[in-house]
Amino acid sequence: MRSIYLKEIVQYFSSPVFFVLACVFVGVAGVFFYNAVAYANLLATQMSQYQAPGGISVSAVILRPLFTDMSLLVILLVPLISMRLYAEEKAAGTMELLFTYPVSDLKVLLGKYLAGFSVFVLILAISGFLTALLAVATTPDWGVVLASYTGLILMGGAVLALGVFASSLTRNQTIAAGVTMGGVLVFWALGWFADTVSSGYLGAVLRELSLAGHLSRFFNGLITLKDIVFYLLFAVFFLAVTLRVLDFHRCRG
Amino acid sequence: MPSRAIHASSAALFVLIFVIMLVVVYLTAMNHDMGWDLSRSKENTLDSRTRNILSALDFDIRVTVFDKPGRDRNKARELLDLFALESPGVHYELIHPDIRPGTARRFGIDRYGRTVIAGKGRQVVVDSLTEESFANALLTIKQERKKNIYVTCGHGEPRIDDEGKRGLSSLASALRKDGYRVSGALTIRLDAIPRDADLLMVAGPRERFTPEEIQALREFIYQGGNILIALEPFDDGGLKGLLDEAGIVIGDDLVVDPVNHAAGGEATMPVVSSYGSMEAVAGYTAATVFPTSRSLGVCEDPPAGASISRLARTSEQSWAEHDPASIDGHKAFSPGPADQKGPLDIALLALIQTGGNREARVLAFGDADFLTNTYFNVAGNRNFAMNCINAVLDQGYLISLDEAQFRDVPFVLTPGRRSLLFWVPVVVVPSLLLSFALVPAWKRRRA
Amino acid sequence: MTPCIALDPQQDDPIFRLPVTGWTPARAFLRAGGEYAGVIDILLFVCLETLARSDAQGNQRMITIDDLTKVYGSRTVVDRVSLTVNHGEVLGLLGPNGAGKSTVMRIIASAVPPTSGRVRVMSCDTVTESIKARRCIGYLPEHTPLYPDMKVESLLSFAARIKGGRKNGVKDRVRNAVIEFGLEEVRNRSIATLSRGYRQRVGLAQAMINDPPVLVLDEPTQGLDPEHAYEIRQLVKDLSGSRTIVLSSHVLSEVSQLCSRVAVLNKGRVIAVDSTEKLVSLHQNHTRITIRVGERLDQALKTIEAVEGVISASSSNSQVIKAETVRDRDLRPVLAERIVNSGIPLLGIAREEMSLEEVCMKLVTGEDATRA
Repeated sequence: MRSIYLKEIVQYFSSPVFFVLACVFVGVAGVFFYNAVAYANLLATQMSQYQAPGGISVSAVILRPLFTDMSLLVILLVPLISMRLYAEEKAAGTMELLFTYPVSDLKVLLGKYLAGFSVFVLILAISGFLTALLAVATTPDWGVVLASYTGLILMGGAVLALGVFASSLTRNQTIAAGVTMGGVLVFWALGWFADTVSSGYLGAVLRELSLAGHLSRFFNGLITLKDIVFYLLFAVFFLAVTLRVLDFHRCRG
Repeated sequence: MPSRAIHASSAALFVLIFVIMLVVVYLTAMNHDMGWDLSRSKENTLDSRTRNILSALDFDIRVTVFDKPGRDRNKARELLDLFALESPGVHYELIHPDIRPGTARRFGIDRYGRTVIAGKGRQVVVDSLTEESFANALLTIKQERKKNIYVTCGHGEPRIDDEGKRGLSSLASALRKDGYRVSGALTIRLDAIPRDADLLMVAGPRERFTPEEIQALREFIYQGGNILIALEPFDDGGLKGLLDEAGIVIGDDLVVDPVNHAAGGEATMPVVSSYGSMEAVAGYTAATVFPTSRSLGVCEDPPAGASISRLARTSEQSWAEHDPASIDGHKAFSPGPADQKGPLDIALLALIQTGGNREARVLAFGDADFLTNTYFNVAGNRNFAMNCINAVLDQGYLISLDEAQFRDVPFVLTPGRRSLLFWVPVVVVPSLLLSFALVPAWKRRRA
Repeated sequence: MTPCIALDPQQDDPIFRLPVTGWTPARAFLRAGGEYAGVIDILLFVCLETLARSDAQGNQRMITIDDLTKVYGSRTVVDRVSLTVNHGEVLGLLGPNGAGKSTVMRIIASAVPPTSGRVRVMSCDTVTESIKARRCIGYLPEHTPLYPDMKVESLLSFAARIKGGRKNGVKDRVRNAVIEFGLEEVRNRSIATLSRGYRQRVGLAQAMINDPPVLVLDEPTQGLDPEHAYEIRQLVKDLSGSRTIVLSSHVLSEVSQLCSRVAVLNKGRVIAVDSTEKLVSLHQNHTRITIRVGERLDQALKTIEAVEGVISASSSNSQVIKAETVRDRDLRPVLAERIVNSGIPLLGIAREEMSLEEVCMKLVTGEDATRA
């Protein structure tokens, strides 16, 4: 597992892909961040003009919008991280070689998944300087920041598992990324469907399956067991299905 | 090929069994959900009052929110999730009244946001779902009978319908939100104390009660009634004797605390942060402010059947000033020789066993101002007062131990820092990352 | 552990593979000073020696293929193949395209599970004890797939790490492989920039990196220019001897050069297994004699045809005549005498061995005919 993990990390960094992705992610998040800060500044100035007491709720005005925007960036970023994990091996034909090395498919899968996860967390960690910068203007609620990042990491992990699954289906990386994004959008939008379906069990089930629906509590600073378990199970499910797909590929040669 | 079909069906079976396992795990987690609120302002944590109501819930509650999709509806859902997190007995449904007009009409819903809270065969309709409206609805559903609180008037007391600085309207509305019925009562006549009074409140009388009135109060107490007496310094309304009988001594003095007083206020506005061990106040950490108060004391020889608990005490630096004249002006205070040194009691609760196995409760405060509109919402006053009253009325689950939290924080951005917040995240860091990406490629090309 | 110890059947002197490192005892002794694994290995070796000797007969079979069948969809690619490969043997797989050579090799290397039948590598089943079996094998797939974006060294250390039970020694193994396969010049280049020859060497190096007792090479010289093909052949030759090798190739001369045994496959079936020489001699019904004459070709042809024992004679150009003769006699002296006596200038006469290629062709076409 460790050897696969190291190999994948080497491959991620052997091309400029990592830094380009990090640059785009952090840059766009930075624009969102500045936007939120400028709006907060406007609010604060208005408040002081009306001599209203206190300040503003940084969590509501800056952190929550910022993390909501970042969650959208995450679902665009993660498919680009996950797309190569199996598709590249298939395209290069190295899958066959990998199958003959003395490691189980599960270990290969976990090694690959953890490598993609590390890259994702690393990019997310780079974006952490944004909230740290807030300290020059105010005291953000670090608990909310921590909870929000926890939510983003768990959600990213779930999406990554879906991405690994899509990557195991095809030898074309673009298709893998496209399928992942499509799948994520479906799971993302389930919450919206749930609102129109409205009542009954179907609505409740759709809402529980929604990727986005489980994020809001994290962004409020609340970590619940249910949300953690949802994202973990989401990841476990797609990793398990990926194992089946690999098994199928092995039999088919 | 049959083998392929077998393979495909076994794979499908595998996925099915796996999905069922996952669903079971998820449902288990859902039913044993727990949460950790990391936010500093505890905005995801329900008020302990609501939490207490919910955890004592012994019946199922069905909440139906009628609203169109949008921000309000999502807020309502988040709130309901918090309720459900606290008590498994809370079930909810969100209905779009335009899509299901029949249901909406059945509940008489004529506007968005209306919410029906039902349980125990009763139902309450509120205009919009908030933590407060929900908690009150629960109390309404839960209570067999609303408890009655009567506030005496006619002796120059602040009035419950007065919304001015000296009025008690804030207190009254807080009590009503907790499900009490609050009304004024003239005690001029002997029989004027209503029979259904669960608590009689005497807050800051300026005039003396007549002996007949005092006798009526005494009888009320000895029939097992509950009474709250809040007296301003040097105005005892003639109730000193009555309190003596309950084992509570009131001092003719003014509490002075040159160290622990409200910021920007005078030394006659002591701040209390030391509370007794009674359930109502134990663990309570917020400060309470008592503007111009008198000291109370426990009678050295309490009457038989009476037991007295301390609720709040001032700090050790305080003392009870007997000479009010020395308070005027801004000369330095020092305790006179006759002045009692702190800590001084400022709130006491006497429990008196009366005939017929009944228990009378006398809640005494050395101050009445802290209940008025000016000070009721200052610091921890509100929760302190409500906790004490709830305890007296056996509504222990309404006790709140939370201190008030401020969610808003100052936000100051100088132009220089503002440009820092622009350049660093939007330009500097991304170009740094891009250079990491480009430099190796550029080097390769050169080589 | 025992499966890793095997006796060379040809010699009395047993060649041992140590259980943990897979080294020969001599190598282990040499390295024991530096590596604890070596010391442990020697101890294990001493303990297991007796066991190994008593068990040797069973263990000299490095690869056992029993009734192996592989079906893709409705296509039977490998059809009831049974083969054994003994220790130190180099087995060549021959056959036309689509004969199932690659599939057999894939199954041996555990890349693909069989539809039915079983394959054991050093008595480990490739399905039930797949990981153990894979540990004993170095595999070079067809077309040498490698990670194009990785550098040679990092690829080799990945292979060493993923195959190795031991954490340490990865650097040593990579260094040895780089030297052994002549990769010093390209050690820091990425695979994508390598020439085909180097690529092939990297492929061999990754297969060999942990000194596996069994090597499976699928078309190791395919697509290489003659020079590089020669280099690779030399490398394989050097590797053989102590190792068991299975290789497939289109180039039959290569097979006859490298392999001690050959299995001919056609349409998923093994149609012949034998040592190279035996195979050739068995299937050679005629001896071909090539005769070069200076002039008068037609007359020479007639003269040759008249000799007893000549079955047929033909000429493809104005000087060369090919004569098929019976196998049991050498007709060269008789033929030379007759031609010279007829006054035809004889430039040369030679007996031509039937090549493996022709044997193979013959086997395949013959089998096709009987099936049809």
